Amino acid sequence: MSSAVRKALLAAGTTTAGLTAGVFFDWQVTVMPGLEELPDAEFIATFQALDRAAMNPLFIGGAFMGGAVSLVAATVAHRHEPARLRHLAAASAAYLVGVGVTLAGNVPLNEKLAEVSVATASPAEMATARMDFEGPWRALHLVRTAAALGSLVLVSLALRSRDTTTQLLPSTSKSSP
Amino acid sequence: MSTGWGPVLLVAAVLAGLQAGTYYTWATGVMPGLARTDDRTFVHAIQQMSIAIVNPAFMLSFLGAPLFAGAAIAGAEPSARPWAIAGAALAVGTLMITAIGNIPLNNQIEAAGPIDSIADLSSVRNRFESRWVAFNMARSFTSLGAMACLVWAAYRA
Repeated sequence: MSSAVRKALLAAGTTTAGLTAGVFFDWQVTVMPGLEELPDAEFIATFQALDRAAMNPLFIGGAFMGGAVSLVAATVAHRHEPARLRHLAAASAAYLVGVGVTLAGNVPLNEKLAEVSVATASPAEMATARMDFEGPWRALHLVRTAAALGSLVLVSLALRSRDTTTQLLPSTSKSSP
Repeated sequence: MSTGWGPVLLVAAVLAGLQAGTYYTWATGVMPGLARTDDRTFVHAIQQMSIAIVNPAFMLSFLGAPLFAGAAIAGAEPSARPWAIAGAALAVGTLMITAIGNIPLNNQIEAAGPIDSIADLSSVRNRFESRWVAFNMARSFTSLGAMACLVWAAYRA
């Protein structure tokens, strides 16, 4: 494995982990607190529209699953560099927790809410659908936001972790006064 | 380098990531989704999210990203410094696009008043939507660029 490939995988893993963490962070601190204030029909219609739009190849393929693939690949690529390996393995594990929570938790809730027809459902049915959705979704979302943020911090640490062998190569002593 | 500046660069990279992801999700998920909603839902959702976004967590990433990127310049190794400078410039650019472009539009749509009192929802929406989307697209690129530069600076430092 050439060092250029390792470098590229590390950069790709960090960038995609950053995007995913930022996406979840924004939904955590802005989107859901904003939607919380909407009446039931508007809440359901808005969430359904956002959910459909978020299911685009750029996010799902590029950032979300791309993050999982590039972090795991970067971990494997650094298997002979113990210091980076530790951080990358932990970053991958945290990221995969977020993927697991999404697939097992948020996606089924999204799909259930998508079945509600705002045009035909009664106010009572919409109130129930929202109640069954909003609290559990936000609890799961908090977990995956924390996981993604943890993953971003860990992969950032991997950027700067050096194994002693590589650490000795650049002669830092020269630059000291 | 072990002068304690390393963590500053890492915090700068993490905050840049949060900024990049935030504008990215507005560009690829939130605004394309809201585009399909009716005028009332659109205006009401935007008004509520504009209020919600002024919170400590977002403000920390919004103001912290350019501040930490600027601080990281001081501590960056010579080989990493140009990247830290580029990252900081792009982070400041993100802040300025937001201040000059998005925030005035947010203020305008909030000033339209309570949703039930707005007579012409369609014109309130039209004054906001396409311009806000264009400014957001611009800051999506600057914030993504800032993160990429800071990640590279952290790697080289």
